[in-house]
Amino acid sequence: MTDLDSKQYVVFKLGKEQYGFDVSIVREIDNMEEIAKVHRSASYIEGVINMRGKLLTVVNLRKRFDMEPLPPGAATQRIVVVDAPDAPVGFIVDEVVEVARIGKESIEKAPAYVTSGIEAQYVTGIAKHEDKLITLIDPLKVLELSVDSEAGPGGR
Amino acid sequence: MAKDIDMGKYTKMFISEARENLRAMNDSMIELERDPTNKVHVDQIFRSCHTIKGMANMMNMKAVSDLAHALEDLLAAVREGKLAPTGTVAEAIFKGFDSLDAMVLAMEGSQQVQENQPLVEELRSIIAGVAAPEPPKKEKEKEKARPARAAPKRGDTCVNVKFSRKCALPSARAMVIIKELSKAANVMQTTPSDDEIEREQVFEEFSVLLEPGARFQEALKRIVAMTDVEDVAYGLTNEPKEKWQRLAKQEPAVGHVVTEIPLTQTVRVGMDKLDDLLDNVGELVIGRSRLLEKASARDDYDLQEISMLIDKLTSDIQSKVLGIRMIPLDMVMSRFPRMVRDIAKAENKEVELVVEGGSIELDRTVVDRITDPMMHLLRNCVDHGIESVEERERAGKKPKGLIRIVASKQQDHVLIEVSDDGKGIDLDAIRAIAVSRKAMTQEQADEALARDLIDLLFRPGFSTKTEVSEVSGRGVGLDVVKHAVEELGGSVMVNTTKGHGTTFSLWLPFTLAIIEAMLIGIADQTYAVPMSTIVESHRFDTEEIKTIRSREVVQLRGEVLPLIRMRDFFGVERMPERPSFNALVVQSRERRAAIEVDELVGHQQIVVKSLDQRLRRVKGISGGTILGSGKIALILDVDSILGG
Repeated sequence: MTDLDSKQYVVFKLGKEQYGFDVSIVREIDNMEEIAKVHRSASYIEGVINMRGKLLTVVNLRKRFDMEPLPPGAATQRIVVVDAPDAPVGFIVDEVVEVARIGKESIEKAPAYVTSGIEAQYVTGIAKHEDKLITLIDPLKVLELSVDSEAGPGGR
Repeated sequence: MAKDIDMGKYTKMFISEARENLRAMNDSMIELERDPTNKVHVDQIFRSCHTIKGMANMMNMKAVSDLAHALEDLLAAVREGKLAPTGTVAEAIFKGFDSLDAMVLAMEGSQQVQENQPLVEELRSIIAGVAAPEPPKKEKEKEKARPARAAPKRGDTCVNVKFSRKCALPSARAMVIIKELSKAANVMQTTPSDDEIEREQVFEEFSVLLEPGARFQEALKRIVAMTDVEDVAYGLTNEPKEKWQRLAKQEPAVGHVVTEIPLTQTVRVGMDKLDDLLDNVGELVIGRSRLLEKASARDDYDLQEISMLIDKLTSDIQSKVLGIRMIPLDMVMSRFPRMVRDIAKAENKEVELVVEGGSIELDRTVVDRITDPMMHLLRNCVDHGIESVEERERAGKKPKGLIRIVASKQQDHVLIEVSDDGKGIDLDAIRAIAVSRKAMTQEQADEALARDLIDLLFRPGFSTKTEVSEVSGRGVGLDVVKHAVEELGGSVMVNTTKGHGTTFSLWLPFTLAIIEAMLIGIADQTYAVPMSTIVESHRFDTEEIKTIRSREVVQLRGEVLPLIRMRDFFGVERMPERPSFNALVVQSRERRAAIEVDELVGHQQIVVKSLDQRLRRVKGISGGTILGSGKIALILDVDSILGG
């Protein structure tokens, strides 16, 4: 976190709620394209897509957060590509709303009853922005904390 | 002065050349130790040592050049027959190599290179032991023999530069030249002087008095190549100007100026550049497939002709790029004799290493990544396989143990066999340990086949305890070997006979990048199956499926094959029952099975792309590729499918 007064966030929707990623680690936002499903991977990993000749792993955030999957064919779905330390990773979101500048003063720590356990580690704060509440998450932490479940044969 | 300017790339060059020379020296030294009278080897070592010394001098690496110099003197004594290259002398020479190697390593890590004065002294004392120290005259002769040192040493050197008449800003040009010279020499005085130059005096000629440094000649060449410079001459102040060396504009390489060693026609290219090139070629291969597909669908003769041409050129480029990445196995294997010799010495064993097939070429990546596993296996062979001299004599064997590395081409794989004639693996000892570790019950252990027992050795953790290595004579970190080889898409097999020795067989692919594959469809997705794993494809009738202990099998020409339904394996819904189905008979490490697939699409070359590390441990797939359509086909990992 820098000491600047405000930062920009990519704000997106998952269900009714809005979330935000720090824009500095977002590499690009792509339209949804055909995903090659990787069976027997961790359940929240949707598969891989062809990102200009390289294979990009795509994480389904809804599955990661134990939400109902979106009915297929939603036109607003996007893949937010984030720079992870080894290779970029894509996150499927329902809809990208905007890139918002959010002042430091309007971000609060997440109250303990909203986030608990592991969640508390990747939720970096709750932002109040134009009457909306945006849950700010650190996508790298989401990945990091998911490592344990990767070897399990999911998809069954 | 000014020696530290932009040395980075020269350092890199020095490191790689020094390494090559050290490798050659080690090789020859081992040969020499075996055949102490063979002058060819001494000459070879001497030459390499001399090269290293020369380069080190140019780089101002005193620690390296001093040691190389001392080694050179010792080698000279060997060459003259005053010393025999065995015993302590050989040991000292090897120590010298190691120390040089350590210095090079330090340079690579940008660390301070430590002088090894004690070793230099030791080398000198060995020489002193046989004869009076070499007359210094000898060294002088050597110096003279080297064209790189053509610049005279006595008297002051003066460089005279003449500008062309068109020269607009002689003062600016002069400053540039002085700067250039000061990189390679110690500039003492200029005429006109600095001040006069700065005052923008008009002049057509100017001269510089200096002490030339290592890269002096190159600096001169750069100067003569500058615009506005008409003529450059240099020589000693106490010699008449007619005797001076003149560098003409048109032929900058006149006379003794050529400092480079006679150039071999090669270019060094970084691996990363080759990787990039290979990526591009991969895309080109994909593009070609699309072109061919479209062209063949049209009734356009010209287009077809062009696409055929592109097809041929693409194949050529592809095989050439892959060829460039290939290096002979010798690049790593040549280190082994020295290593085996050292380990054997340390353990008081006598071991001979024979290497065959070192000229076989493999992809650089493959060669790089098998180095460690091979070293591991060799260490194991000497440590635990080969017995002590007494033990061997008791067993009626030759006192000297034999380790063989044999590399051979086998269709689309390379087989590297590492075998020893030692005591072999004691299966009963493994049984006992398996039971004590609760990896098997007593009955299981009693019934277990050799193959199953040896498989245990490859399990991580099973073999790390010393009891195994002591009793069975095997097993330190064999899991590491297996892992490394399998990561390359290869496999390991072991054959052992108690009392007679052990053979490790490593099956490796030639290249990792582009493979032949069969495309298949499973549940609306396309997958690629490496051709190297496919035995054949076959259409079975559903009635042919039988069960053995509730596991499905099919028979093909009498052979019973387990049937693996890929849809079940991937956890997707089965196809509705049909009268017959497509299957591939696949094989990995002696195991065979039939895998049921939805459809067979066709045969194609694919460019292997690696998966994110988060997906690397997923069972059933080992990578992916991008098809001509832009869609992804995941590559089936037959080994893990057969394994469960």
